[in-house]
Amino acid sequence: MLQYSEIAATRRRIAEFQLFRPDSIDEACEILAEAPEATVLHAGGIDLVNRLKTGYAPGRIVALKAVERMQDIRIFDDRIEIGAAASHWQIENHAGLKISLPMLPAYVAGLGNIRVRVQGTIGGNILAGEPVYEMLPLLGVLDAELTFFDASRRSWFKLAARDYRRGPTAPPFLTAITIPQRSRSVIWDRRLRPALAMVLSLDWDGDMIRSGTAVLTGDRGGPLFTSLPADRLSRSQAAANCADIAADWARLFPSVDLPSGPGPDYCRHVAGVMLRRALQNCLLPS
Amino acid sequence: MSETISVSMMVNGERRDAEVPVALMLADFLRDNLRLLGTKVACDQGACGACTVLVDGLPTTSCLTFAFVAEGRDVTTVEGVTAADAVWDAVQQALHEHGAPQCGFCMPGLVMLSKGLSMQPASAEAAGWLNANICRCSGYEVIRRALAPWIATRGIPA
Amino acid sequence: MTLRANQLTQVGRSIPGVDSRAKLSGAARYTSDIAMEGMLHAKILHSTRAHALIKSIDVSAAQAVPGVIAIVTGDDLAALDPHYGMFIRDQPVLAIGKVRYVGEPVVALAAIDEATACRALECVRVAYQDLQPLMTIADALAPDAPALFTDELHAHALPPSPVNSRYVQQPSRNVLFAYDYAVGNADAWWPLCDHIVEQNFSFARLSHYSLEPHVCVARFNEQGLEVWSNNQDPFLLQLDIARIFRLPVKAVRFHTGFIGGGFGGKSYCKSEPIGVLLAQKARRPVRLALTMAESMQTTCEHGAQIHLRSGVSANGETLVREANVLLDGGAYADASPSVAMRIGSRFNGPYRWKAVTTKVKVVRTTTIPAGSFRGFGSAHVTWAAESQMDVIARELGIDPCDFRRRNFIALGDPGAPGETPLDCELNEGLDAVARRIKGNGGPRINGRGIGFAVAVKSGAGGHRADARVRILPSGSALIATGVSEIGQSTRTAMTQVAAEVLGLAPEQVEVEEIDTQTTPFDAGTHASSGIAVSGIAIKQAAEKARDALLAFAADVLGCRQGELDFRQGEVVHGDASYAVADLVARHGDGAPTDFTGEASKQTGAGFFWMPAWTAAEVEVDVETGAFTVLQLINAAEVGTAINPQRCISQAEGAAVQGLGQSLFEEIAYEGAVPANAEPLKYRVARMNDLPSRFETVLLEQGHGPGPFGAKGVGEAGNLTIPAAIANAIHDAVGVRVTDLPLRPERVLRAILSDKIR
Repeated sequence: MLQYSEIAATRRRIAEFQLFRPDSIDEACEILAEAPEATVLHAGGIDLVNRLKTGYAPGRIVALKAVERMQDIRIFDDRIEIGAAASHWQIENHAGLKISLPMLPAYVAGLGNIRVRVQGTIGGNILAGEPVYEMLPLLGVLDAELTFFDASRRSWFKLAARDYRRGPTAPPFLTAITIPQRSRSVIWDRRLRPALAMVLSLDWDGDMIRSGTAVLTGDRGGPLFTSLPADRLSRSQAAANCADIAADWARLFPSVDLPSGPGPDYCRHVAGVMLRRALQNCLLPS
Repeated sequence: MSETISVSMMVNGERRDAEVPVALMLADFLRDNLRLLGTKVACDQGACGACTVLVDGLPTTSCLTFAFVAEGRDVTTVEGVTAADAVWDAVQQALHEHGAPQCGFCMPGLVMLSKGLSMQPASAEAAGWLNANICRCSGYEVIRRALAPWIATRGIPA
Repeated sequence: MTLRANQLTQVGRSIPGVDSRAKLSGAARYTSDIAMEGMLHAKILHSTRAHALIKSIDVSAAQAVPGVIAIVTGDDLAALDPHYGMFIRDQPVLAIGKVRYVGEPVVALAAIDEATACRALECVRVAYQDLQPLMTIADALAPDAPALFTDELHAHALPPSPVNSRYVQQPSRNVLFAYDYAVGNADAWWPLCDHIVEQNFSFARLSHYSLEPHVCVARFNEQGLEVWSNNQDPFLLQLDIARIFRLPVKAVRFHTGFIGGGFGGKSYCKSEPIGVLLAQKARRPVRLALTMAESMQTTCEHGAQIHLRSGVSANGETLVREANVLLDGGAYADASPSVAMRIGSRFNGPYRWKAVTTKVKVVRTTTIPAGSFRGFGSAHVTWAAESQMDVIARELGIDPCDFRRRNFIALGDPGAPGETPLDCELNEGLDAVARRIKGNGGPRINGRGIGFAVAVKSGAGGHRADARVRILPSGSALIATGVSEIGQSTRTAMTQVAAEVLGLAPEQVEVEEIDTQTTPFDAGTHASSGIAVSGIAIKQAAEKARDALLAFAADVLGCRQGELDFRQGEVVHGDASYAVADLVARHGDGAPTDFTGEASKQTGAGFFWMPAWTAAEVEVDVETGAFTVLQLINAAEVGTAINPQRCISQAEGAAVQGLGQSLFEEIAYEGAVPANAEPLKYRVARMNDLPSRFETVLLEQGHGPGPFGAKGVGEAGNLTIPAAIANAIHDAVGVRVTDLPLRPERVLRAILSDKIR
């Protein structure tokens, strides 16, 4: 049930807070661990500040801007590591990424708008928990791994991006995102955004599709991940059966029944269409 | 007790030091503390871009940016590109000649967004740059024509 | 066309706006920029309930917050005349005993700063006893629905019914207003129709979404009350505030500067009395600046359900039409009766009909009060009517443009008995957009289609505007009208009119800021009245000022007035010219300090017609229902363009709003709560939404009643867009969507359920 605030959200409503500006991840972890319930992280600040304007008053804010390594983008043979405080703008302009994983800068450049991409960070995008935000769906299909520090337990843990869901309370401290380097094709369809967007990834083993993942997301719910319902298809097999594969695949999506949204039938129908097109786009000569 | 913090930044080429409430937004620092009223606050949610200023040359939503975030950085407002009535930026002149302003409330933010675009190298992939700000009046077509020279060289579909 | 004399030097020039430099440099000051010594900041506590009795309000804890100076609730209204509304005054300044929509102001307080005000509001406790919400028209009209208003309606001032119509106030429970319109003998014509088409349409509740929210600064001093506000109607608001606070009108003074957008959302009384009430109680200046979300929850455009039936002859002659309209008026009247009257009398559109009958009801619901919006009801009419014109043409197998041309009202003919004769030629605009959109023709592309729509809206009915022009000893001129500069470029247009009459350069004309104490009266920045009505007053005032100066100069120079002229700021006599200051000096003692002309213009029911023509081309994705608007070609007709570029901006801006309305604009409710009545969630058009080809044709047919043949243009360009796009979708894929916005799932649903295709 949608709640209505009797006091309008405004920046003037932001309560005072204690500000911490650590230099290192370890220092940030220490500050968090002192009072995990009362401390939140500020990276880009877009979603946090808008939340503070509604009266949310955590009391302690840790600014991550000066934390070393939090904005680093590092490319290895088998993986790419991105600091959670790297901005979208950094990612879309990163020369190394444009060579190693060119779909990532291309995808990021289509998100939000230039103000959002300059200010917003990849970590903020993931942790905001907004279904319409599109980093988590992409990282999910890329089999990315998220590295978190749990301040209340003072312990580190890793979680597949595909399994992350924001809970009602402040999220744990996300420090880095690791994307494995693989031979894969990634296709996305944003034409129906914000109602619905889709990302599809096919992992290749030579000329065989090792696995496939598709994700649907929209402003009313998601991300919803499903795996290709067939193993080790050859390119030619898959190309010849795009429509059937897409139809089977679309049926696997959990129902999206959203108030005032386009409706579950529409979502399912369009998911099938988008999947078929993405497969065709990927597999058929243009 | 008010939680305050000292900030120091360059604003329109001048060094500004101040002791400000920690929760103060950059927009309010500029408007209330420095009396630079050209920067407008409209939606107060980051949607519209009326409050856009440049921080280190990039468009920044000043109603979503704490003043302390601009610590040690270079902030430019619409006053900073308007040295005197007759001397102003090429993007302002283009918008003026094409007749872009209607109610005008979005214009300072749009000028700064456009200025940020014009400062990008001509090879930059800046597709969709001007989509960031809202002009409800809505002069998009005029703006698109006025800024065509900058748009054309920076990969934005016409 | 005939009036566009060659000797015009200022009128017809596309000069940049006279305020363009100020707006682009950040120097332009808006009401939200005003601050003054000792000023307090107000914040409002809004109702969280759609419909409830207020059992108690506890402000004691808020009162105890340091820095809080004054708190007001409905109890503070006892000594006032506390309700407002354009014709029916039913809206309390703050809720009195009962709330009727989520977002209604319940408590307001003033504190030393906004942060303190927000913190103090968090301490206020309001206890409600819930009543049944009435979220939709159907809810409100249900047999067992509770009455939103049980007491007598408050004092009101309804005008006489327009021609061919009658109205009833509050005819039944939860119906605010009913309006019936009839011309011709419909009963006689229905049996003569060869084809009858009948459809239901819906029109979504829209937000004005102007970027500067409602803001006012109020202070009391020895002279009375002084208010700075960004309301579009300073003189109407002056009257309302004087009445509400039982003050003499002359003790209430309003100032209006640049306004950051309005589109109707800042017309008539809104939140301003709350600021005044706090200033009165606090005895200090108070600034009440709403957030944009609060503004969006203050007023909106009426959602509507429209049932439309039209009958035509076999050869495509429009014969008889019947419309039943239910408007969602929201919780309070605001301008709803007036909107209902406009809607009810406009269904003949730009065509000849033998008979038209219309019934409009404004239904009260527990939602945001609906009020004025660009087009004032014509958008509702045009959406349904121009969609149906297309359906009829297709059923008859006639080209939709030919069908329209066959039935257009001719220049000089009234659309209905008693109406203002049409002052434009409709074929020219339709030809212009049709020619441009088709380009070189070429083969038909699958999934692509072209649609058209035409509208006429009446402008400046029943409007009064006064003006004053003063020629100063420097030879420059000061001009004053009460038209607010809201983005329509009134200052630029008035400057050009005055400069034309006075032979001055635009730089030699200055526009005075609006101050109700010194500015001549104006009935409000409404109905595209500015250039046509105030423009006439400015032109006449300028002529009088010039005549006063020349009479004086003739006296000083000892010649006849007819021998003199005023050019470039100097009085010209044959080969000699004289600076005004020199003439004043030569006259010596008792010379006037300036030369003033004053004039007033009052219009009747309808002053001019604003036509709009649109041709749209879309490409529909038949598998998803998504579509792209490839081309949008619009035409506007302005009589004479005082400044062609500014006219095009008005037409284009309106068209982009119409595009947003077509594609995605709608305030949606989830339960009792507006789900997206905030800037981040309500989607308006952005630059990338523009079609790649977007053109505006400006026509000047020269029949406008305004200065130099001008007429208004502001409210036409949005009217035709939704129907033109729906018609283009029909052309592309053969299906009809009758609900706005034209969301992909609606298009797809229509495609999949279309058995015939």
